[in-house]
Amino acid sequence: MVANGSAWRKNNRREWLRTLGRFFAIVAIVALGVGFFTGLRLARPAMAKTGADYIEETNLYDFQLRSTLGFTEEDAAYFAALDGVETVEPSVSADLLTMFRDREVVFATQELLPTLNQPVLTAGRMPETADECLGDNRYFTEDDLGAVITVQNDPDDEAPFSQEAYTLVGLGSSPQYLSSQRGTSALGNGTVAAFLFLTEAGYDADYYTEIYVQVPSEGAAFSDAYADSIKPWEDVLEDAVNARGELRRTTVIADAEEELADGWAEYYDGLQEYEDGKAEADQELADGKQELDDALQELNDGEADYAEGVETLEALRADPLSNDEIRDARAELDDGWQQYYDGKQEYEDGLKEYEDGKQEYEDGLKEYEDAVAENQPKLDDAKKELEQAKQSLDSGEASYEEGVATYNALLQDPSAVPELAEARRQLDAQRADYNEKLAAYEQYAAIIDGYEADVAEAQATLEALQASGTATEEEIIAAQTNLAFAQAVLDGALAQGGDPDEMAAGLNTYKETLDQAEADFQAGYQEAIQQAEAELAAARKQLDDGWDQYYEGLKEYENGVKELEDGKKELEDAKAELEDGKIELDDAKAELDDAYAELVQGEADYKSGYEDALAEGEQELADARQELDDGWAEYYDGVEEYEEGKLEAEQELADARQELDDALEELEDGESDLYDLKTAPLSVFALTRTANTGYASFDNDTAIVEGLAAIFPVFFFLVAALVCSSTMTRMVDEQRTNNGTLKALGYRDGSIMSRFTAYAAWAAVLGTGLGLAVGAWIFPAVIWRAYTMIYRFADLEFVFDPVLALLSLAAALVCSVGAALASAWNEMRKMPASLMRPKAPKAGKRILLEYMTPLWKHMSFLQKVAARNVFRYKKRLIMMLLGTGGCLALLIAGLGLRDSVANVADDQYRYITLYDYTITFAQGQTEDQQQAFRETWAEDLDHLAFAATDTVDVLTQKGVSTASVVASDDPEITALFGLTYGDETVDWPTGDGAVVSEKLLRLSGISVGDSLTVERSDGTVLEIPVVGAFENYVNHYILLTGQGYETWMGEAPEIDTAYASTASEEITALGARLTEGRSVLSVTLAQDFQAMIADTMQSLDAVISLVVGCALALSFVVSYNLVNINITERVREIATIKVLGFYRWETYSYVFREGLILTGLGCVVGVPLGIWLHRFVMERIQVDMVSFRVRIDPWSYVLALALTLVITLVTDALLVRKIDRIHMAESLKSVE
Amino acid sequence: MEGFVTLDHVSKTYGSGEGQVQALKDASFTIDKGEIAVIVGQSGAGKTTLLNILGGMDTLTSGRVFLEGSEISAYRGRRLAQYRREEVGFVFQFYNLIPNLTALENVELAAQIIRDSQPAAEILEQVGLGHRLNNFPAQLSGGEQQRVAIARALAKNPKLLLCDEPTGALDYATGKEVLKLLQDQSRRQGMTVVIITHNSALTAMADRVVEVRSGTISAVRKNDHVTPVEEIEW
Repeated sequence: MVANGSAWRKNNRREWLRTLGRFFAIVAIVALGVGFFTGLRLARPAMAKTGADYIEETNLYDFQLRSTLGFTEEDAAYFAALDGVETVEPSVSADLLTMFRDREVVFATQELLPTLNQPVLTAGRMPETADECLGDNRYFTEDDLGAVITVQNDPDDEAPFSQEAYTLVGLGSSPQYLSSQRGTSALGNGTVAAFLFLTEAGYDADYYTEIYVQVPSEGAAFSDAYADSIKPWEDVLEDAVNARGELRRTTVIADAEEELADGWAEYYDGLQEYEDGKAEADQELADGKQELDDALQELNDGEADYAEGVETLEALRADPLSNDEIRDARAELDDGWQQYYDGKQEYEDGLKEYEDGKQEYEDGLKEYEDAVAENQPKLDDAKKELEQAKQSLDSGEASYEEGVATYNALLQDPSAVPELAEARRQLDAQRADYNEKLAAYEQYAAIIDGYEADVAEAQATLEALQASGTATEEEIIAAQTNLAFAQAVLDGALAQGGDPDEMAAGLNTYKETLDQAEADFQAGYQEAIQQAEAELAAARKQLDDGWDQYYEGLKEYENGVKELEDGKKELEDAKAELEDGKIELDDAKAELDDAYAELVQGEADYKSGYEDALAEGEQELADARQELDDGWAEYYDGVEEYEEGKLEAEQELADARQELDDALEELEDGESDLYDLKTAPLSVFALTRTANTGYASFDNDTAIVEGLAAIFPVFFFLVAALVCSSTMTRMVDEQRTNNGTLKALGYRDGSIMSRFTAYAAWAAVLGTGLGLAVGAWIFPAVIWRAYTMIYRFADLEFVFDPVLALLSLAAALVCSVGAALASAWNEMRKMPASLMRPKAPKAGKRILLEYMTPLWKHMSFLQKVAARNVFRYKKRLIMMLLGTGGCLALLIAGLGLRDSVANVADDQYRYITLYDYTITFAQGQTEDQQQAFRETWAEDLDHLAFAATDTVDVLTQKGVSTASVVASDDPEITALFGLTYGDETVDWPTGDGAVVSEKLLRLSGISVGDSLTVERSDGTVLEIPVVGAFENYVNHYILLTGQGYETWMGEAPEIDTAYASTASEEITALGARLTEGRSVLSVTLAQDFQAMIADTMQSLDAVISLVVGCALALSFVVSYNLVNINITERVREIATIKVLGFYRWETYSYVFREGLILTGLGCVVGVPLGIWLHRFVMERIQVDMVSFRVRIDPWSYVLALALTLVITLVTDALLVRKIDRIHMAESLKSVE
Repeated sequence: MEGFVTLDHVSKTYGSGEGQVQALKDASFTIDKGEIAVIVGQSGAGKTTLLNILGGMDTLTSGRVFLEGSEISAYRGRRLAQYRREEVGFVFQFYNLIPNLTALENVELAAQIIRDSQPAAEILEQVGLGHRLNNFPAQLSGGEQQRVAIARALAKNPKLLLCDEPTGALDYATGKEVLKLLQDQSRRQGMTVVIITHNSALTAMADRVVEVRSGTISAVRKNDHVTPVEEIEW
């Protein structure tokens, strides 16, 4: 049955759509793997091609011939005539010192040759006339076009420039300056800032400085083929240049000898002339000197006199009293002043007293006025009161007088008192009444008496009759009747008039009453008199008291008035006194003022007198001074004249002397140079392109990329392939029931398998295509971008390697399609029925962990599930471990690479290469020469050590390495080479062998105690015993003592090198000065190497960042893919646990826990794998000169692990959505 | 409408616009506590939708669903998960056991996430698998697997046991055994069991039969003559 029905295709398409995430993951993994692999692999070829094409285009020389003595036309012709040589172009080069952008800079100029070393014009035009030049486009900008560069070299240097200035007309790059390094110079600050190309006419040279040669070569620049093809020419040209050098030396020596002979003759003539002139001048000067000395003596005497006058004047100026007259005047004035001041003091005291008195008076006045104000009203009141009192007293006196009169009247007559008068009158009336009544009574009593007497006679008769007893009755009767009658009459009378006794008693009472009244009246009268007397006395008393009081008040009042008047009087007296005092004071003041005026005048007189005296003195002195100054001026003119003459003579003599000395020095230098010329080995070179810094470093730097490309991408690719293939395998597994169904339906195995193969093939082809398209372009581009920091001569030329591309595709296909096929094939052999059942886990298989019962029991349930999931399927486990572990390994290796290269330059030049300069001498230096050099530079150089050096080849396991032999007995050498191994300091070797840089030992596979086999440039093979090793990253070194050198290098050491360090900041400037030292051939600055290596390391760093970035990307894709597969494979399970009521986070953790455990285990695998990979890559990265420390910083591990974890978490976070999207209804579906 | 389980005018529509499919229309019925209810209908009649809704796996378009007075149709997110976790037990047609876990662990998986679960081993003993605790699902027959699944559901002490074609993947005899187990559990524990099936023969064992036809409840009836499972034939 042909499997192309629509349902079939639909099924396949759906399957693809369902697993789109996985499909793209595979595409991405393949793309990353292929891209990284091919990209990194192609980077070096692309860079090399760019460089080679550029060199081809610019027609760079194959050999540069150089000689310290230069070349002549004949030399050039000689080389041109050599058999097989293609092109020979002699050239002039020279360093030009100028001011540019306000700084002193050095430009390296060279001749624009007809065909070789052509610069590539990037702006402006090529120079055409003698005064035009082309500039370095990395230094000059287009704005600089038209700038004039003036030659400011020392004229003595005889720089070979024909013009004084050159105009910049174009910018370009040069194949001789591929890198950013521009080299060093003996001029200026010692660093070349830029190159310039001048026309042939721009130079005016006696000889050519170099000859460029091109020979027939094969292969592109930088290739081994090229190096091999020019190899035979090296010796040929070296021999030729040596021969020509010797020839030129002979000519130069002959010329020099002749020139020297002439020079010496001239010198001795000049010397004689100089001596004569000197004697003459000396005599003339001595005469002049004597004359001047006499004049000086005279002037000095005058000066002394003058000084005395000055002294007197100064004394007078300082103290006027030094003059008698002035002193007397002064004394008089001082007395006057004393008097004046006394008087003034007195006056002021008086004034003070007056002021006090005045104050007192005013106070008194005030007091008085206050008192008046206070007392006057009181006094007035008192006066009024007194007057009133007097008035009332006077009226009191009047009434008293009246009282007295009344009293007197009373004394004479009581009736003077009305009451008494009334009482008198009443009393008198009563008395009259009484008297009347008494009279009445007496009359009546007399009658009664008569009646009674009758009654008594009647009674007496009767009694007598009765008593006679003889009276007859009649007679008795009659006597009775008579008596009765008398009685009756009496009674009658009595009845009518009353009882007289009673009446008498009444009268008596009446009389008594009257008497009483009279007595009362008399008593009252007396009383009234007494009362009046008492009253009068009291009034009198009162009046007298009043008068006393009055007089007292009056007295008081008068006293008050008197007092005030006294106060007033007193004040008036005081005022008068004050006024008198004032007048007195005013007089005194006037007197004082007069005295003062007199004194002031006296002072003025005194002062003018003093000034006159001073002025007089000064005038006298000034005159003297003038006279002296004139004398001095005259004298100095003389002296000046003398000095000028003397100076002139001396200058003339010195000039002559200098001229002679210069001539001598020149002659001696000439002799020395001649000696050197005759004795020193000829410094001639036939240099290949590798001697060119730019060419060599470009070669090296691109080689680093090749080193990286050797293993990294392969590993990367392996990880990608593994992940890809396992993904495919799992996909097949997952589809097994489906496959069974299809198989049962009668589809052929091939058709069923083709579903997967097509899927895998598409992914592989798409991934490879994408990887090739992007990777092959982007990796070289990014790396080139990093390298343009150093190499900016051209844009990168991309290369495409079809073989590599096909290889990548094939690998991708094998990993995807192959894996799918293998897995599917395995399945297909089974019967459909068994396929349609889910693949059974191996019966009762338990993971190892379960047998660790205590641990297993302590694990939570979900942990157990995860552990089972992780460990039950070994294949999946290994795949995951290698996937995540591989990515981690890539990260660690990448970061470790950074750690290893980052600080190489720094460490080397801070701790190992302690010297700043390597000074190369033209020939071996004797002890004396060393000492002389040492003394000359003692101030500038901190440490200086002389050494013998040589270069040898060391056969290592990876080829031939060049090592520097340094032999020194100089104790200072240890201050210039920092030798350590591990943490131990390594001593400079003693006589028993060599101390060798550790990397060289490692490369040659020997250890301390063995012998190192080296080959000298003349082909001699030597064995040197190794007694120690030291850490070193740049260059290889074999360190020896002088004796050791002699022993093992087979010849006496020639001390032709010195290492030196300085504390100065001006390292390059000092370097330039050192270059000028006697017989110094060249000075190399360690910092130039450091900068170059740092540049290289920095671009390497950028490349490594790229690697790390890719490792991260791969890590991400792998992680995503693995977790994604995990979820896709277990949709049903996830749906089920959701139905069972797992919460969101429980579900996530159920799914992701496994991934996290695998990541953790992957890390366990990845770390050692990373360390191994790092080491492996480090071994591959070969850079001439530089050896790296194989080192991974602890932080790099931390970072790599953290990044891996972060990536896992990020992918988990991305896939959370996928889990959320799984519908629970999936759990109800039938098993696929 | 005051049953243990109450569906009140429940509708469910999938998709929107032209592609709209009404899976359930105005479905209302109740199931009493302790009953075995059989929801029977043809494929596509809306049984599974009913199951999804009762099981808290899907939401309604309209209407309300109550379990023991709580409106479960109002639950969302975590509350809904809690409902599935604590109140419902599922028995799937294809058992849905986790292949990497033993029978015991499969039961524990469910038991462990709730508080008052029954001891897993005991439950397995109850369903007659006491001797196969440590076997992996792949080592068990279909009937045994379904028993494990039932044990897993029972371990949670659910208020409601939902069974989706529990015999669908089993042979006749085994199917019967499983049904017997369900009936026994319901009778013994007074558990409310809802069985969803297309097999109308099973209605004989039900206390209540709900017939579903093209998304509507065509009939709800109580079965007064419950037949023991042993006597049911199909």
